Amino acid sequence: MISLDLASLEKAAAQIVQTKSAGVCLWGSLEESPFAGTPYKGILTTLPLRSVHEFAVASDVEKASTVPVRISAAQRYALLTEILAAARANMPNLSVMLVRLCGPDFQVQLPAELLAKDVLLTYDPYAMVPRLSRAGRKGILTVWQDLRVDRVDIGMNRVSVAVHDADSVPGFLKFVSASRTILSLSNVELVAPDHGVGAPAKERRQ
Amino acid sequence: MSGNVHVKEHPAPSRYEDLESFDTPCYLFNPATVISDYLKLKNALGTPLIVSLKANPNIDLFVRCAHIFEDGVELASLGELVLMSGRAGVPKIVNTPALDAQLLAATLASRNATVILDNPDQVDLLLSLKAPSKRVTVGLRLNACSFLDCVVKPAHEDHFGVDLESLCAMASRLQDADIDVSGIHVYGGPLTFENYGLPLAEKAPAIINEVTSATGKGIEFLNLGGGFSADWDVNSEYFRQYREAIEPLKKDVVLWHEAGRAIFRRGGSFFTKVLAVKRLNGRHVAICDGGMAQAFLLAQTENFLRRPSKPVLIPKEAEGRPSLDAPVVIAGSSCNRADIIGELTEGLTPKAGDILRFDDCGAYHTYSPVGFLNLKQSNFYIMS
Repeated sequence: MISLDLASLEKAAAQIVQTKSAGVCLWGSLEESPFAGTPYKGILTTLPLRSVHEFAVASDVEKASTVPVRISAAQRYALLTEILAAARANMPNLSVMLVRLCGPDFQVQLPAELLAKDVLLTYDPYAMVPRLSRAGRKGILTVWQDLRVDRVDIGMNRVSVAVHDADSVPGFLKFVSASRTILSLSNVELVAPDHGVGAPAKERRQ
Repeated sequence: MSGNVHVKEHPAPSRYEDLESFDTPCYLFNPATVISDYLKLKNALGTPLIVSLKANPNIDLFVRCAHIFEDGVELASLGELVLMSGRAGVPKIVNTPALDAQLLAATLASRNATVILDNPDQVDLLLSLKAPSKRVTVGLRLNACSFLDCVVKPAHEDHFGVDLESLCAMASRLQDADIDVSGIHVYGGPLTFENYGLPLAEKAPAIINEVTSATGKGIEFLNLGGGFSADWDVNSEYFRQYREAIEPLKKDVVLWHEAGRAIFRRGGSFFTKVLAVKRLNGRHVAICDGGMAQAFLLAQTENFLRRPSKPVLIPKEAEGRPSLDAPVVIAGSSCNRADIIGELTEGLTPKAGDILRFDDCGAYHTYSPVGFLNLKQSNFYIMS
């Protein structure tokens, strides 16, 4: 675990950049809702099941998980939007933001911020990084998350943000120490980004 | 209620500015309260605790609590099975005297499901499907009144399940078809824990023995239901005696309990907006945008003696508002003379635009007439 004050982050990042990687990656988990005490509108609907086969298939995709759903779909969008806004405000050389989203939440409108020209929504944000880096692109921010907003989501309520070149690190550190979403995370770690793999292999299998 | 479970609960809003975005009539459910009350009861009982989904089938609330509801949910209709399919990830116990071929087939197709058969025709139905999937566990429902006749009040008699003799015959029939009976469900009825909890626990060994004799095999589970009120008391002498009575049973079977009201009641509030206030026959009448059509239980039409609920008045603006000079009857929106959901006897005089909050409405909120006048249905909000 690491403290999210700028001095601690700079010290840890310097070690990573010197010894392991050009970029840095911050991991954390959402242990409490940042919206605690605020009501949200219920929007979930049922699956359109009729035939026996459909019940069997729906049943097969159920997962017994003890990971709590802590936020709603709209709140997940709000957290991602805040992360992007904080990155824009603090990373002067930001060129593209690759954001993990596993599918639309059909009942909630996707915020315009997540459809901006410099944002790419993708299942695997890290997959694009080697190609973009080879093309000479810097200022790439990857935002990986497996925040659960429904029981059908598979995830552990984690958030990871990373930059992949040394020049982006100072702005990145300002960004993570300013983002309300990042500051709301627990068990925060600063590590080297795992190029070519993205999230650790065990997470990618989920 | 008491216990040692620590869950951070958030109170229902009581300031108008926190409610302005609410589209009334509506409910606000509080997952932290539901989780807290579930864990308190489960810990006090020391057994698995099944959630009766009919008490609150709201999916948004369920997904926030499901990681705690790991013992399972009881479902009583195809609609409830649909609600859970794809999401539950916990055992599903389907239990209704109105089980039909469609619901049974869907249950058999579901993973981690238990079907509780209520009568011999349901045994026939199961056997006729010829697909008693290995995925499904079968239990039988025993009518509590049938063997507690010395203590059951006439008002508590019900038509659920069969007597012990019929149950043993059903068990034998299933056994002949190579289908194991895994357990028995017996339930004294809502709010009857302090009437039948102990008698049921005391009779339980006899039930287990009879069924074991009929089938030649032991059973795995015994669901004693519950019938807990929302204000059950872990410190009561009755609860202590009950705990003592069920303790020896645990070595023979997995004991289940089941609850709805005790889990959900405290975790929901109903909000309705005052549309108009008039004076009539020496009292005020506040007409609201929600009433018995959205919160039927507040109208207490099924109660012999009505004790009107006292909502919290959340005034749009309180300044200069006079105190009440006469009681206020809270009327719903359904043009039904029985649509009286509460009263105010003190505090400020309500005005159009104010909001009324009724607490302890988290259980059986869907138990309402629908369709009459095509009235607006409730919206639902969940506390973060």
